Amino acid sequence: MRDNAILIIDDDADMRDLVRLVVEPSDVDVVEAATCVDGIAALRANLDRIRLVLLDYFMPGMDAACCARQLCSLASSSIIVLCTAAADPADRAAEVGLSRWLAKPFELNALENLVREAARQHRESRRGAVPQS
Amino acid sequence: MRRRSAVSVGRRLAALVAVQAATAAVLLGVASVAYSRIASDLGFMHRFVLAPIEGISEAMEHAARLKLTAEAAPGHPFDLALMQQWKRNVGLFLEQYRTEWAVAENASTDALHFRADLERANQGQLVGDERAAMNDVGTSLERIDAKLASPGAADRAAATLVADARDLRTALRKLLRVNVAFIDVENAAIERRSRQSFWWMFSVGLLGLFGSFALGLHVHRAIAPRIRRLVREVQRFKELGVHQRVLEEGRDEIAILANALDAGFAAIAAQDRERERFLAIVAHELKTPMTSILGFTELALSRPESAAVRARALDLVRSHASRLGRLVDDLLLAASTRSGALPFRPQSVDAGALIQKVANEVTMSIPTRCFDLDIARGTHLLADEHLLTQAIWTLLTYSAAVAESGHVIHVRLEPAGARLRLEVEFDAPSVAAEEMERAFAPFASVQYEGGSGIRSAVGLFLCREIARVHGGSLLALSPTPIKRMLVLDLPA
Repeated sequence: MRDNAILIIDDDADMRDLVRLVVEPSDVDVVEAATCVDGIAALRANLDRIRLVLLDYFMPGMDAACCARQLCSLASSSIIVLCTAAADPADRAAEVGLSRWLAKPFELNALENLVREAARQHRESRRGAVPQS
Repeated sequence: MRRRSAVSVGRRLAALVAVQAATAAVLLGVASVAYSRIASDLGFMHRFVLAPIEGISEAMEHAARLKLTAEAAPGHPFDLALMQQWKRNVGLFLEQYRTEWAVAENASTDALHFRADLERANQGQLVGDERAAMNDVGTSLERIDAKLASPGAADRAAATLVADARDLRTALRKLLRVNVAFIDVENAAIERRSRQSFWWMFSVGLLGLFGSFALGLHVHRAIAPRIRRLVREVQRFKELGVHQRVLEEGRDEIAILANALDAGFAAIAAQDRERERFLAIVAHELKTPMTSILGFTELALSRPESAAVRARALDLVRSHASRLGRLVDDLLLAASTRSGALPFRPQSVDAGALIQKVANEVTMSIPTRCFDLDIARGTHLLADEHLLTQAIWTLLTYSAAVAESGHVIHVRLEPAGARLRLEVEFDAPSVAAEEMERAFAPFASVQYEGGSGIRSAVGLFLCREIARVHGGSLLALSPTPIKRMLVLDLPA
């Protein structure tokens, strides 16, 4: 189990597969969840190592806004990104209370950049938290 | 803004027309009465005044001859027969006057009216004058008659005969003056009646004019602002596509029109919203598989050494491309149907094999769904294969969308006489019959939460149209509170 991980919450198995195949070579674990409930549980279980959460807009069982609220309250230091194929991704992100979004279809670079950004942010926050000797 | 209008526009207009019609009728009545009275007065004047005057003139002429002949008698003996003839003529005139022309003794309606006119003009004594003049004429005639009884008596009484002839003339002149006075009275009466008629018609016309104007203004005020507001609403809807409820609480025709417009606008707005929702769903449906296709192809290109990634990418591209193709076909055919140009190229098709093929395809897209196929043998029919494939695909994806999660969808194909009957039966207690019927509307879409997440399916409009061009039908049935059934019936 690696120290860095991302959580992908998407009902589309192909999408989860794609994220896993793209991210895993970067020495980052991919935790997959097909529903919001599973996603929240997975985040709770991997709270110390999940740096990035990718949340699909249309999800079974739970409203995306409700899911995003619970994710934010659990992992305030992680980057939570809404993935959507909607025509107005910014509006959809604002609707669920998130400031970051990834519009489908996306280039793999965009996903890789997000993963790198999340890792950098984690490093910087850890460095800030270590007391200066 | 709320407007109340209890009186209908039709009633307002009817009142306006009634006022105008009543005005015209009264004017016609007044004119008709005036005309008949004036015509009657003129007729009376002709019959009872002008005709007697002519008779009086002739009688005076005879009387003048009598007088002149009598005056010349001492020197010129007169022709007694001629004198008697003149006297007889005057007598005949008097008789005719009494029986036909005398106002005082005539009992006709005209004479009664005329006597009333005389009284109204304070000339009632003229009736007495006329009677007196007639008596005088009669008396003079009697005296002349006595003196002309024999030639000798006439010669002897020549001097008094002159006086009698003069009296006769004087009496006739008096009768003439009375008749001339009658003319004055009748003329004044005609003038008075003409004036009265004029004022009557003027007053009625004026009242009618004011009434029509006031009522017209009322109708205009009751209708015009509301029509203008409706026109503004129509223009705003046309320019901005924004529909604001027009509140017309009355029960008149404008309110009915406004409510109909409202209903029309609301339906158009709802259709627009439905179309926008449909487009959003279609865009989402197109973009979701596109994300996987693009992502996997990019991944496969970036890792040419990985055969596993390449195989996975190709498999995914094939599956998603097929689904995208169906969706695009559905959209194009729906558009063709809307424009009335659905292509139809019939050929012999094995319906059973086609259903088997499409069910496999749908299962690949929706692996959580299970179809139980019961297909009879020899199920060939004359159909457009492309259209029929699309219809079956729509039926199966729609059923997969609305059926209870985890429940099997039963697909049965069997011949029914000279037709083929395809039944797709599934459990969907949460889907009401009306909801299924709504799926037949153009651009209807079904968004559903399946076991594998939120999916959407296009409605059954196209499917029903495909059935129609094949000479068949598509029905949505609810055989039990739980079971729902789609029945596609086609000629074999």
